[in-house]
Amino acid sequence: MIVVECGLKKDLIINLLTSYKGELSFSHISTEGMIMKFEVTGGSDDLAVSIAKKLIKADEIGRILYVNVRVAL
Amino acid sequence: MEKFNIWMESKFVPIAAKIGSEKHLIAIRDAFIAMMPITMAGAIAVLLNVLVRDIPSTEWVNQPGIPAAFSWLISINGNVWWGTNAMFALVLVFALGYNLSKAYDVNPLSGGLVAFASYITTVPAATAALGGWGYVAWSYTNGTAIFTAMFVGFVSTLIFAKLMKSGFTIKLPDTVPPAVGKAFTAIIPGTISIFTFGVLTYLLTTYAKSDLYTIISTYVQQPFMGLSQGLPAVIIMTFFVQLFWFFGLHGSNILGPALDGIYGPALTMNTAAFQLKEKLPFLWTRGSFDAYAWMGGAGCTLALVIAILWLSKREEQRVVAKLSLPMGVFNINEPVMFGIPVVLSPIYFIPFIVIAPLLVTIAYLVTAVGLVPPVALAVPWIVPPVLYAFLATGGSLAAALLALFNLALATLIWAFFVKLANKV
Repeated sequence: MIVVECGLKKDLIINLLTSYKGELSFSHISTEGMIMKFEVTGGSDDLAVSIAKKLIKADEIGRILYVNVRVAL
Repeated sequence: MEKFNIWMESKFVPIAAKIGSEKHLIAIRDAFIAMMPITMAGAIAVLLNVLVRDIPSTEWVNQPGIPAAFSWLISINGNVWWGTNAMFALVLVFALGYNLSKAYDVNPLSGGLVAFASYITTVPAATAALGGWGYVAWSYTNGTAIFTAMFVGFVSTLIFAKLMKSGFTIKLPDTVPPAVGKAFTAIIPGTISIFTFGVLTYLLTTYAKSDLYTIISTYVQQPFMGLSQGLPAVIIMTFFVQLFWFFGLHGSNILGPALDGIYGPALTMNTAAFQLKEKLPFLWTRGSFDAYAWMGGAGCTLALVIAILWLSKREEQRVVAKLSLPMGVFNINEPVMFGIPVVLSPIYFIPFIVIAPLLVTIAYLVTAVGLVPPVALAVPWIVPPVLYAFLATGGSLAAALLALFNLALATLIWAFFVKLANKV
């Protein structure tokens, strides 16, 4: 499971990750305040963190958001 | 707060996204980022000379044997500085041409080379001081020529890219190898771009009895940089970076072109003056923010971590602070920003917004009265606070003490709000 922390545009981030069609897939588990949790299938959490960061930074709005992506503790 | 968030998302974020995605601004920002290996190599060379030449030569160390023993290293550093900082404008014009061409989706290598050649086209091939033909004064290649390099890099690449896009090119059959085809395609746009600056330079030297560098330096660079050096400009810039970070926007990405495009050149010009032991031309540079205000990250969050460990009675905040401290020392503050959290926190809004502008004000005034030298050297942003100020000012103990004072002051202000948070 990975955690994405962001104060704004949470719907956009959820959409970016859950619509990703690649080597692994993200499914949105929960959103609590700034914390969004995603279950990862088809790959490691470390790889998922890397992909999630790239997906967010590649987006026009995503790249201006202050985002922290990490493996869930 | 919720209503404000909705307003931010619907009204402000789209505007910020447009600014953050503006390809010309991104090209400037990426050009400066791409130059990091060059600027860092130059900065390391200057820093090493500070350690083995300048500090041992000061009155309080007074060890003339050290510079003598390291004369070989001082020479190597001089060579590296000559190839990096002294050629800053040339590197910038290529990097800008490359990145802007990439943004316009035309051959970036050709774009970079055309920008480079266009810039050299504007540089006088001889000066009265040199008394001959074929020389280039290094003032045209170093940091003082940044604005001219940016102007030429921009305009030449725009001409090149627009002509490439318009199809005003030589077209070769598909059987021609791609590398040859790309070079031929770039011939007409590149030639027109370079000739434009050839003509402009001729007009300026013939009728204005001047050159592009002198004109831009006098009528654009100096007034513009002067404006950016005022305390209000420094405070406003700091305030907006803080505001963006607090509301969950990437302050550096949005304001990067302004920070790097205005205060970056000031740092480079200070570096050049520092190397030559001349008076530093700029009071406030890109590194000044990191040296005196953004210690541990934006908002001086290292001070927050210290304040929490000192006074917080909230166990969850203490755990986050303990985990964040090792990273905070190296100016990484995501764990504390999202872990406490500081982002969008009503309690921490005031200190996060106020502390950094206060710290830059103190540092600016102390620098202005001459108690500490201006920041002159580029230092990697992960260098711990206080040491950062020491190195960035070429080994000034006063600068290190100022950074320490600012850190202590920020800790006291954060501490007040940490105690408030204890009651929530």
